[in-house]
Amino acid sequence: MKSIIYRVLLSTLLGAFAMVFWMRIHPEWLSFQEQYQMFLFTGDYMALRLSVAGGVADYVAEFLVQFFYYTWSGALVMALLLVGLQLSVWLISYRLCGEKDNRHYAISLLPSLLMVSYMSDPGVMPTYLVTLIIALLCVWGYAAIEKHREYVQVALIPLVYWMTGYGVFVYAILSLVYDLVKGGVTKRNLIFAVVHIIVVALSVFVATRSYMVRYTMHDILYGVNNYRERFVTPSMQHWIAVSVVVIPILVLALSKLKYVVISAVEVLCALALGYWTTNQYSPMIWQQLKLDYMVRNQRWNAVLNTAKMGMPQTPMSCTAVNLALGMKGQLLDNMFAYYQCGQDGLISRFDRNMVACTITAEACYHVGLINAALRYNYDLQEAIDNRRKSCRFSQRVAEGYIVNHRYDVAEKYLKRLRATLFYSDWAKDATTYLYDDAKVDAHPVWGKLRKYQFADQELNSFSDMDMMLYRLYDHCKENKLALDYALACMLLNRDMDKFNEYYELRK
Amino acid sequence: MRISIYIISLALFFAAVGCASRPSEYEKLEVEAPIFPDYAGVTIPARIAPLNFNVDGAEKVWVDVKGSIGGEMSGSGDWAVFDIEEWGELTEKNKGGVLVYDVYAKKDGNWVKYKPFEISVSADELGEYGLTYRRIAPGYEVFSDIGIYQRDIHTYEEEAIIDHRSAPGECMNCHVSNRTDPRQMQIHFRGVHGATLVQVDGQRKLLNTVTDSTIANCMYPYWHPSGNYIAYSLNLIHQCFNESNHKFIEVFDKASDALVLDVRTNQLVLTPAIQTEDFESYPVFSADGKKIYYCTSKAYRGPEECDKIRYDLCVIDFDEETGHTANVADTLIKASAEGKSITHPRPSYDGKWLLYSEADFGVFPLNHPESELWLMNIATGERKLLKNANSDGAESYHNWSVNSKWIVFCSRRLDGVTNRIFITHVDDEGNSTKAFLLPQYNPKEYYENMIQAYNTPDFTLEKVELDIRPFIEELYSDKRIQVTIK
Repeated sequence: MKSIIYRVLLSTLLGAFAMVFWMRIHPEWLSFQEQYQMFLFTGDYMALRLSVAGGVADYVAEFLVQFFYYTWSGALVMALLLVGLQLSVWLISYRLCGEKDNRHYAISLLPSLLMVSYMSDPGVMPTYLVTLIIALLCVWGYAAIEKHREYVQVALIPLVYWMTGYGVFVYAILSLVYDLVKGGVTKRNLIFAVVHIIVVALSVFVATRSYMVRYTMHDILYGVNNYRERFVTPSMQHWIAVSVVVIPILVLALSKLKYVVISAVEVLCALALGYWTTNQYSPMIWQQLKLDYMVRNQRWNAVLNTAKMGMPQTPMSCTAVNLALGMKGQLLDNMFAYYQCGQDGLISRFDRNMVACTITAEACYHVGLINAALRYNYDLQEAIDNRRKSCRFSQRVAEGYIVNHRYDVAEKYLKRLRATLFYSDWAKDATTYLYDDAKVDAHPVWGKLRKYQFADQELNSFSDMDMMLYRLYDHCKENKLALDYALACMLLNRDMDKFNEYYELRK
Repeated sequence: MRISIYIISLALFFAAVGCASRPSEYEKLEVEAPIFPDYAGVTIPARIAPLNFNVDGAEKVWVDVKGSIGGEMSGSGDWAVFDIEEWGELTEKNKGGVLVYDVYAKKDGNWVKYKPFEISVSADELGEYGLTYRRIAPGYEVFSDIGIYQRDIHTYEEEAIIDHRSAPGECMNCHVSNRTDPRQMQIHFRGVHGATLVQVDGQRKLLNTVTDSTIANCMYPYWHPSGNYIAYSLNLIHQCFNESNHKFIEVFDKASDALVLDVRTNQLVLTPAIQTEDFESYPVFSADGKKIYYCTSKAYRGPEECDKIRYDLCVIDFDEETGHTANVADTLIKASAEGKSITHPRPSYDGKWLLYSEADFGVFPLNHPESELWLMNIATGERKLLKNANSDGAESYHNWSVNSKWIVFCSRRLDGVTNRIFITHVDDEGNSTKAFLLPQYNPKEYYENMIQAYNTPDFTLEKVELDIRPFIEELYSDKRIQVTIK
């Protein structure tokens, strides 16, 4: 009974840690993951995902990541996944030891804590976490089979490869270890081990010649979506895989040692590791992403409060602060109370990556440069490293096309969004605006954006940004934010004569 | 258990039969069927993939097709679906005739019958295997899902020649074969592993076309009929963005020249006549290989002056022995004087026609809704608007079939933003027919879901063969043959 309480306590502690971590410390991590994918409830989408090795894990992960839309549900999903990984490792350790040995339960926390640390890298995908869980559960399932194990294994390995891709190596090694530990190092088992390795190699080879023929060897060996960037696999991915393989063996070895001291050390180590993981999230990266998360949710006060506490001095964070100030009508009064980096801190040129201009895209949207907002959001979506689509950016793209009367094109994006879980209602509502100019004109945001939009040709120009923004205001005098941005631009360009001339208009 | 399986099977069978029978009771309407794509009145080649279509608002569709020369068939389902074999035989039998369509649609539980419409089947063959094209998101500065594909035009089968899965991060463009024959082809790659692939009879080489003596990489290509040369333009391409809702984007060159690559020696042949201070672009060889047609404009500063850039159509003699052009070019059409800009000249392979795009200004007509396709009779200089093939949307990226009877081109007529592939027939007088949208199995679903745009479509005589894995290894090895100057 005591041991059950001990196990439940440790697992609950891990889950609680994960909940607090993602709800309170790094909610932007959830938003970041969620905004760079678009899970569709369509047969085509499922077929597309399942057509590659590792596709099942990827599909499951994407299904789960959509729940990151809400912080609480995202944190819950992450807590469940991390506890799931820990329990999977433990279940295999338990099978390997062959007895109810709970003494080294704390060691099973290690891969989950390493995973939290590893996920401080924005490129790490939750797919990897799901990959490991599926692979471990397959080992656990395999260990439960009693008859015709050899035949089952020959069928299971290609299946596990198809489901998890890279996870097949974890599966193959652990199931091999299991067989050798349980059955002993007999001639039969050694022959089977060789067969085992041949089947793994064959599974990979068949993939290269058939359903993965168009993919690179890197994708085939390390997974299509374990890491967001193609051709990159951080060594930590391998170390975590090694940890889930080694821990059951370690538990087996440790089970012969005195338990009280060892267990206490293990618990202490787990706690220390837990603390260490929380410090792996680079403030430079995650503070900026937190600002983006706040801008996305239009939490302008939160942006300014975060900035007051200190923030990275980058154009991205500067853009967030200036936008928040602008939205609160304080841009010209308070902008120099914060870090400034010139005109780029208002609206910067598009930088060809998926992060740098997310806030600029929002600034363009709010200031009334709807075509620029459309363009930035479009290219942000196209810049996603793993070529996935984004509900967030698609929403803005659809809005851009609606404001521009391009209903046919907007409909394509809305159709996609209608097939999602959390954007479906918004898309259904937006669909009712299509081909109805009067209704769009009456929309509180789109109608306003239509009024703001230039009537005549106006080429977007960075060298002439202040005057372009002024002309935007001049075209529709309701657009005070455009005037503030124009004046702020003049200030940042140190053009005081121009500023004084146009500042009068503000009065 | 077994009995219930039989009952379910029988129910499904009868349900299927019920769906697949011609409606006996219907209301006759005197309006044309609201079908997508709009295939009514188009002209098709025999054995093209069946022109399946959707009827707006229909729960079920039944279509009878009768050939004016003979034969008939039916198609049915949630949309009009036709059997490929049966369709092929019917179109073959009715070459030079028409197919008459009777369309029945079930709407709100009741069947209606629309006014019949016709499709003409040309006597002219389209014997090619299919099409090649690039698919890319119609974005601005970044691309993700990009690829060069080939499509069997007699079925719906499409496959990648090379795409983002094999070469992530690489921009690939301008897949061009020699007179539709893929045994001689070239593809550009841009990015970290940039190169120009030239493949002749399965032997491929990867070229680095940047030199100290030229302004940029080789860009828009066109093969010499002998296969010994490729004409290129070198373009410093830029784009600017519009904040009003008229046009989103304008593409312009800051500089451009034309030249010829000797494929045998990997040498660029420079000629002052087509490398002037002005802009020269889109060079193409005449059908006999003795001339180069190209477009030229005065050099204007962009983006402020990009609406002044107007290209004229010129021609210059080409010496196949030396690879050099003559020193003086002739202006065939002084479009700038008419306030127009001509781009993308494409001579027909029989030497009779010159097909080109005409817009109000600029070098990239697909961003211009006013862009239209025109034909020029090379012998007489007479110009003809392809009235039936054009639309209110932009048209460009056109190419000829090997028999010079069919034109494939891109048009933005469907939504104003996304290029789609259309095919039209041109008769001996240079008259075009109403163009038809590239057939798909379920056209409405396909085109509604497809966010990517098509560009640079061309016919391909046979299936393109590119051994992808060894090729990718070569591409990523960064081993290149440096072109030299002749």
